[in-house]
Amino acid sequence: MSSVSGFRFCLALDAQAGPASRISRARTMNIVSAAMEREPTSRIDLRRPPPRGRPWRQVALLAAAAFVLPVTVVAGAVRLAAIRHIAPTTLFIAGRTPVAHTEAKPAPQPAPREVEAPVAHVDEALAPNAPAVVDVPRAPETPRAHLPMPVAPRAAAVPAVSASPQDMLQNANDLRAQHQWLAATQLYEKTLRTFPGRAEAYSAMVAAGVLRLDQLGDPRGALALFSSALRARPQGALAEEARWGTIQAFRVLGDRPSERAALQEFVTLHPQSLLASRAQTRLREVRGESVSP
Amino acid sequence: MLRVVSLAVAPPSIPPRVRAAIEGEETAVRDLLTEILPRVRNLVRYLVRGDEEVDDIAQDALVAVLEDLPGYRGEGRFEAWVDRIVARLTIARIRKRRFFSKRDTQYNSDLMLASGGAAADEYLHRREMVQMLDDLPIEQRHVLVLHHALDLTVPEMAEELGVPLETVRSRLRLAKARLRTNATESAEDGGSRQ
Repeated sequence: MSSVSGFRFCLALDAQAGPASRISRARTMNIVSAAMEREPTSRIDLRRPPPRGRPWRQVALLAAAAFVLPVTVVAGAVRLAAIRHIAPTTLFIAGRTPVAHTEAKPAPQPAPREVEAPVAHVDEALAPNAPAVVDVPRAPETPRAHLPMPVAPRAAAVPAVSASPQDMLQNANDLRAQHQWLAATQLYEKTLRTFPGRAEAYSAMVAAGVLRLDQLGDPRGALALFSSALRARPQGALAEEARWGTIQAFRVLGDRPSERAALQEFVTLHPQSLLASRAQTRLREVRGESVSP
Repeated sequence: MLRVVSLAVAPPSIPPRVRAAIEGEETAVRDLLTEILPRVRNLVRYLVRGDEEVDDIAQDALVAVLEDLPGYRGEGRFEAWVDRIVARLTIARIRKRRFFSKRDTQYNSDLMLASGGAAADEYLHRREMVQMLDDLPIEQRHVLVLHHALDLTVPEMAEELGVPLETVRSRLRLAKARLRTNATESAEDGGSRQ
């Protein structure tokens, strides 16, 4: 502890709560797991010895590149022309920018099938009109036109179908950190849809609820997510957060009776919470409002 | 002869839990990261404005700690060693992002609560303190945190930040003056409201 003369000033640094906001145990485990999963690659890179200088190898590589590159470009041009001839829109959505090849001849064979596979995946990950998740109503202000285009970083953030729940959760967290609220919400919801019953799905449910409430202006959607989380794990690690989110959602919706009931439940079930006093205060306000004419 | 023996420096010792993590035991690594995460988050929060980026930077800091862990020789406290890595990484991240980080400061609504930990009033006090730091220019804030939270000296801070000694002294002086002014104004505002 240190002091600045004139007023009480201390910057206590320890493992106790504060100044960082408190987080749940589940979130702590998510952060640690994500760090551990990212760590081995980095460590291998650190231990890798610096490359030795081999000029002859560089010359050989350059020569090979000089030969392979034109061949690849020509082959790619022919292939692109063939694909454009069949399905130009599909190609664009897949994230491959078509280039002008006015002189290339269309290939006689139909478009290769592998082009279609990633389209289905990207659409599934980004489409706001995908099937509803845990009866969450879609946010009215999230039309497809508002979606950012699938540029490289975004495309990298969208996990493959075989991604682990931890990966998906991490990707959603990354999107949230980039303020891509809608994409983050969708990925959280995809996580809980793909891995129902997993701990990650539970965390994703609450996280998606918070985003819908705070960022997407969708209190009804948030309410559905919080309710699902509480139904799934009434005593779960994030139950307090889900109940508090429920209160806020009811408040935004102007549903005073439901808010009062949720507040009452919160102070009963979480009397030790740091939010308990705020809940009590708000409960008194709501009761006063309902009593006064 | 006896004097020579008495002056011999004891070899640095690495705490067993840290050694186990260095040797790659997964459980030990997980336990160690879980142990240091609260402190890492606190230090990151001291250094950055708002709550929004804290967890992302803290996670990167854990990765950096793991990368550097084989290099830890037990010289000095493990926590202090971690602090230096975290501070370095955080400041680098802020410098990298500051061109497009002019958005409003965001605070978590204390939604994510967990049981246990420090007393509520101490927690709230720390939250108030760090929100005072949020009003400081970022360079002044960094010297204040490095000095008061990590106990770095002015030359150490100059080396860490890559700026001249006088610049560090100036930033430290300005930061203290500004904090004092803000605290006085805040107290007056509170008094006038009552």
